[in-house]
Amino acid sequence: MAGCRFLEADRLSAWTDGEVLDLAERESIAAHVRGCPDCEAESNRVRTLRLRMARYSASSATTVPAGFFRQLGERLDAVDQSRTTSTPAFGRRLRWSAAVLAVAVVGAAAILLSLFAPLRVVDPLVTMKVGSSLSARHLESNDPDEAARWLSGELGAEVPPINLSLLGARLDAANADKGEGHLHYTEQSGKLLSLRIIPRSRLKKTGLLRVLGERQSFWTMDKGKQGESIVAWESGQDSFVASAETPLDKLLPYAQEIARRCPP
Amino acid sequence: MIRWHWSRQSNLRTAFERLAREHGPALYGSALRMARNPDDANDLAQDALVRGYMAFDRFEPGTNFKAWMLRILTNVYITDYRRRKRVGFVGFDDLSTNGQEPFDIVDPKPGPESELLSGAMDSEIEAALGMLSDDVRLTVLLVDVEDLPYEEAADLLGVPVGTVRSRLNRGRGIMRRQLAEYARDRFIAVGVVKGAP
Repeated sequence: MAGCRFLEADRLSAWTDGEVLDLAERESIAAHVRGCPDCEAESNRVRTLRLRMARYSASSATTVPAGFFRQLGERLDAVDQSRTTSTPAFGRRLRWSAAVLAVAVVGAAAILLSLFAPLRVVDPLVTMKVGSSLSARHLESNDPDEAARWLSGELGAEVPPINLSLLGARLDAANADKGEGHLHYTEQSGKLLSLRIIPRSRLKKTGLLRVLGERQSFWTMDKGKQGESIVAWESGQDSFVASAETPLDKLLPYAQEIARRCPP
Repeated sequence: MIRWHWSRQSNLRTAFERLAREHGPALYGSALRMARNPDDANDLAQDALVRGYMAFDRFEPGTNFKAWMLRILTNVYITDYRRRKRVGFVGFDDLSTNGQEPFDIVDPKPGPESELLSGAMDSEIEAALGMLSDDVRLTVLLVDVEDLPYEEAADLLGVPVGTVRSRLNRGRGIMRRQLAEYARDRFIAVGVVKGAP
């Protein structure tokens, strides 16, 4: 699979799961896999993982905690209680009808108002703070180019292009007072990506360091020279790098090195 | 009329409790894999069962209660529990290696990957699942652990089938890399023990 350009990984994975519904497509993939050792091996690995996951499913958590059903019984009692003391069915229907009517009226009014109201960006695409306090500079914008220009200016470094369809971003302000900046993106598929901007003075470790976060892997690199601090993220199959002080031409070799070291 | 209503309700309760006892452990297992800690899993499973009970008059007897409850459980998790969870970004200070020296990434290939995957331990699978983003993890759980077809998982998650496909591919890729690393660590640990005097 690693060297095969005929078949995308998710198609092969779906085929292995028996989830390719179109007969012609299914047969075309089967014919390819028969003649492609890489794809055949990849398909076997997917199958092995699924079998292992099925064993995990069968072996994990077969008992409930002590008192589980007693607690459930008490909660079901409360539901029964509320049912017997609640409004009779006719009254309930009447109340529902009134509520539905009210919602419909309010909804129609809101739609009418929105037609005449000016458009407003509710959620900024990028919110970022860099500086020594939580009230430091920040930008709210839905324009990625503007955000990149602003970041470049603020950080005195060129910000790598981010070729993603971004839905939103938020600031993790926890470390803003330490002079760190964070950009958190939610990609359209729901993937969470982060870029962390850290001044070189904050980087204590040298060498390439890999630390496991709760959900992501982080790589940090500090070559120990002025202006060569770098932080890289790997999320899913993508790697991202950011630097507070490194010009793009120096950043890219590091990015390539990290991408080389990250498994494909 | 009142007696008929009471009797029907009582029958529903009895039928529901019987099914809840039968499928409760599996449901709790699913909740534990979603919530990843016993307290939240207990609350999640309880909330789902209470919601199931409230809608039980719409459940068709003879159909798959476990699948019906899994749908409710997933909805409760997505709408109530996931929203409560703070996104777990670690601060830079937390990025330290707890006093250990930094290490280089090495290519984890002590043997054929299929063997490594087969030999992975449950705790390693749990840890590898924990490396996934919530959306990807939930998709992997529904398809690979709960064995739902892509279309059903997509329906439950409210996303297109293509998104399920790509999330699965991404999640499985991360899990495979992670499991290979754990296997490599075990391999190294075994080597150290073997080399000890």
